[in-house]
Amino acid sequence: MREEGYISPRQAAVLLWFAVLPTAILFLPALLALRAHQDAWLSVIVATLAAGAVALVVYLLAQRFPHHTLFQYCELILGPVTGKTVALIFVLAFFLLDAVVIREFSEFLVTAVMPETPALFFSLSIVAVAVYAARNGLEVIARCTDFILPLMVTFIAIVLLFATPEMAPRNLLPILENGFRPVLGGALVSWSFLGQIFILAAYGAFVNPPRALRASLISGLLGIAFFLSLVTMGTILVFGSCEAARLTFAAYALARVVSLGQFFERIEALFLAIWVGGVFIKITINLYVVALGLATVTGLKEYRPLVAPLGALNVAMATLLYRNISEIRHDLLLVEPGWTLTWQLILPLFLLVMAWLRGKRRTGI
Amino acid sequence: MLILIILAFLVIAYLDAPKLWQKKYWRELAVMGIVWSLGLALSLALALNLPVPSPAKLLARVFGPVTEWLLRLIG
Repeated sequence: MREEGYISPRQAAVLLWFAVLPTAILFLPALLALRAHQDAWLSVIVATLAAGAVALVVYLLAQRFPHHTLFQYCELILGPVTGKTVALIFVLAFFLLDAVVIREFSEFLVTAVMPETPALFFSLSIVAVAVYAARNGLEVIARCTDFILPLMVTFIAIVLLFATPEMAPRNLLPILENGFRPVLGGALVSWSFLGQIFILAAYGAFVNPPRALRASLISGLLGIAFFLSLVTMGTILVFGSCEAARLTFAAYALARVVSLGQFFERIEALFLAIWVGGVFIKITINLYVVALGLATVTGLKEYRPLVAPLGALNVAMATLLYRNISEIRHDLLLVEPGWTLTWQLILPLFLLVMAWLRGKRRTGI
Repeated sequence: MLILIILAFLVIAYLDAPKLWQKKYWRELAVMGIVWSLGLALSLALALNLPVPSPAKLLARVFGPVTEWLLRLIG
């Protein structure tokens, strides 16, 4: 199944930022500080290099099958039965990812901001908006980012800039105190966020011209790495690694410490508003990919009718997945790295190798 | 709560199902129906506090050891 409508390479890159950054800036710095202590920002850079492998695989697959989505070339590579099974695994994986993001979103709002409100209310309202946006197609989602991106970039810059009085460069020292191993452990945790750039394989087919996919992959990955390491570094600089590991929502805490004179403070409400916009894009793009994938696997002409029921199922799944915020943190530290490594790197790599082997045989005939 | 859930799912069905019925898109209708009933069943089960196993537990059982192995390998 394919949809009419194209997005520009720039929009593809920005969508990639939104597919990773919103939840990553909130949850990652604390987990990284736990693993890699003051070298957390180095972990982000190492993980970016590792995510470059995913980008390469996505790019090579897209070169082999231009104008085809991930779910379409699964079938082209592996044949109808195995191909559909693998495509269905990808659909399920994106579905679970979306449910986790919805849960992270509602859990953050309940834990940090509005403890009296039931979490279900937050997940219901964000998914209702996401369903509406995803039904309008990829072009509309891409245009949404044009509005939210400047806000988000400006705001991250403002927070980091005005938090400088609280920063102590001492907090970053000593660099590599315990050698390189903690840094690699941190990279493994960041991997489960950075590997999500794999989502470009699903909507990369709608990028025009297809050749420019390389530019959007590179700029997408570099942008993510830039913002993520800046926020991580800012968190460590302000709080120190011990304190940062104890904060659940580091970027939010960073926005709270900003205080200029007696009048410019408590800007975390603004952070909240903009961050909700970012998470909305992340949930929408995942929901869109799930609906598109399911429609492709089952051979439908339209994905639109699937969006609303999938959204409803997602809300229920998000409620079911975890019992509380500490279970999410535990999973992000100890389960997600292995799971995401499997479906975002090993499985696509397997696809690429199969395409290479079979493609060669096909040209031979 | 139960009535609210059923109402919400009826609204979701009303959004698309009549149009698909008119256009005779039976395949779309079938897939949508499956996802819709899965969602309804899961929501009702959660509202009634039935013990539904979480997929996160399953993932943890399979990929927890994988992550542990990776950690021992590099860190």
